[in-house]
Amino acid sequence: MELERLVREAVRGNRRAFGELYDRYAKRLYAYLYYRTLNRELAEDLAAEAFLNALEKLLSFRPEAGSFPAWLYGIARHALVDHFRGQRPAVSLDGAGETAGAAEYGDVWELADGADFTLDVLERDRWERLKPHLAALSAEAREIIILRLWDELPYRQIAELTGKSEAACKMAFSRALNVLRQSMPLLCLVAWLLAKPSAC
Amino acid sequence: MNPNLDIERILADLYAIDPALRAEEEALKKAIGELLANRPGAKLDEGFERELKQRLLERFTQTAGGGIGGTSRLRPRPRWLIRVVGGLGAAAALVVVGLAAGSLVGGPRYGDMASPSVALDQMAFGAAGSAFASEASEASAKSYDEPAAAPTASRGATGGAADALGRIDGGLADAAVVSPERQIIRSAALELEVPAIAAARDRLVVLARGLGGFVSEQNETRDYANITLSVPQAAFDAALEGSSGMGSVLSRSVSAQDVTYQIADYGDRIANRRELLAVYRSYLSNARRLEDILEIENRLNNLTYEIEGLDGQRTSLQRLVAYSTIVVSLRVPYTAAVEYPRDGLGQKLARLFSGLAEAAEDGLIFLVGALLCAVPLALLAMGLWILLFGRIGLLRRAIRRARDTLRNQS
Repeated sequence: MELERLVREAVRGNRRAFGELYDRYAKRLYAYLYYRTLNRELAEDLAAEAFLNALEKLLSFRPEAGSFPAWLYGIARHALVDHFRGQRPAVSLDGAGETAGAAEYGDVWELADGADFTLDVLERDRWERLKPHLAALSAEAREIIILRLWDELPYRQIAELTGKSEAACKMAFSRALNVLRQSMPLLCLVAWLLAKPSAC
Repeated sequence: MNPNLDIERILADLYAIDPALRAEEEALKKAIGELLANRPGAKLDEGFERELKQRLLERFTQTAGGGIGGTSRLRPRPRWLIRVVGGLGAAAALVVVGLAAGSLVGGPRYGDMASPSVALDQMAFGAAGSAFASEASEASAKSYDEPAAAPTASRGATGGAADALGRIDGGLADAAVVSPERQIIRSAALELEVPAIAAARDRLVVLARGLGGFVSEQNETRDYANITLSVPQAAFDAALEGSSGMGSVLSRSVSAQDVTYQIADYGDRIANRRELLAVYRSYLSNARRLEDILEIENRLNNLTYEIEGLDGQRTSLQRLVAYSTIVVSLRVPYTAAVEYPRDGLGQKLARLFSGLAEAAEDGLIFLVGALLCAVPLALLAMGLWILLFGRIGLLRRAIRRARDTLRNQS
């Protein structure tokens, strides 16, 4: 069944359609949350919260206002931001300009090293390796990079999620990638080529 | 996922914005590759996924079913239908108020004319009365148009109209919305002490058959038996009580597993795939190119395979629901178990002779074996003797020759 019809049926109270929507998006939404928390239990909790909120707000979904995936990801993002709002340490004065944008994107990549949070053991290494590079980006640029490369969302949905035009998203992605290209050490690239990322 | 393909696609997007980036292609490829290679391993736990779905669907059913009233809060009704029914409700309320007023001035009594349904409508509209009935129905319509408004508000004064809608609108009877009958797998385990295993086992078999069930598994020794009864779920309690009464209950455990939503979920998934199957079949009938036909047929095969698998799993669950199992462990009391009957003199003599016969038989076998081995050994020894000391006497002659030589030298 096509997505629009599924959504329409779910809004009309068709349990089967809602179940199918869940099947389609459960893994993707969980992955979205996991990439930003690197903690399995937390991502599960937030995914459950997001789906519950989606169920409660199903009637408020308006197809003319945006696509269903963007609406769903938006709900997940709110759950994420709400969670990290309590985790984020006090903002330093010199970072005040950055935090205005950062407050919109809560994720584990912008938490301070000393912040009290839990990562999956296997992901801590990855986090420590990538954090200097991803955290160096603005919150918005990092979000676009992750949405495009890890969540594999098309620019159209990224634009809906971030409230920007597709062209602006592509431009932001291009700039962010350019920054990463310069910041990533040669060793990482060699390790990647040799398929031994742990060497970085 | 093919990472190279992804990188190429991503780069193509970038070059479309800024062709100058082609000069940095290698570096960009490496940066993208690094990010893709280090993508965290997000794997959703299947158990969690299933459980969350079950809970969400449960919640969905409650929300969509509107609880006791059965009115869907999710399902927007056609505006014209709401207005028509609202108008009918208002008219009914007006009639009731009019009749009540008439009864006060000596007109026909309420009970003489008003139908129960009209009375229900009046109760539903409650204090709002007929004067507010039309407003209420309008408000009800508005609440569907503006669902973000508090849903309970529409179940207050407009609850009657909405409930009436629920009854009139056949859509509410949609099986997907109505809360399904609970599907429970029931099972029990009993440990009984019985005077005699065989008698108790026979009685259990009779009990299971009498209730429309059967014995699905049976292991038995002289003083212990393990018997699994499968009985129709309706007869589960009777079977449990009947089994318990066959001996002294040493332990008893009963469990129930609600699989309502698992079964419904299987049903939903099967139905969705069947719909998809129909779509693919329509594509197949219109397909002209060979590769299209092959691709569609491949998908049809996969879908059919999936449907069969899901159907099998659902049937298996339904069977478990339909037939409850009771595992009955039987054992005789400890003292009875160790007391074996004593043998008489005749049996003892018989055992003695039997033992003697066995010993004689063993001795005979030993002798035959010994003979079979001894004859060749004896022949070999005899041959050696003849060769060394007998008629040939090689060794004997050598000794004699040596002795003669020594004698000559001295």
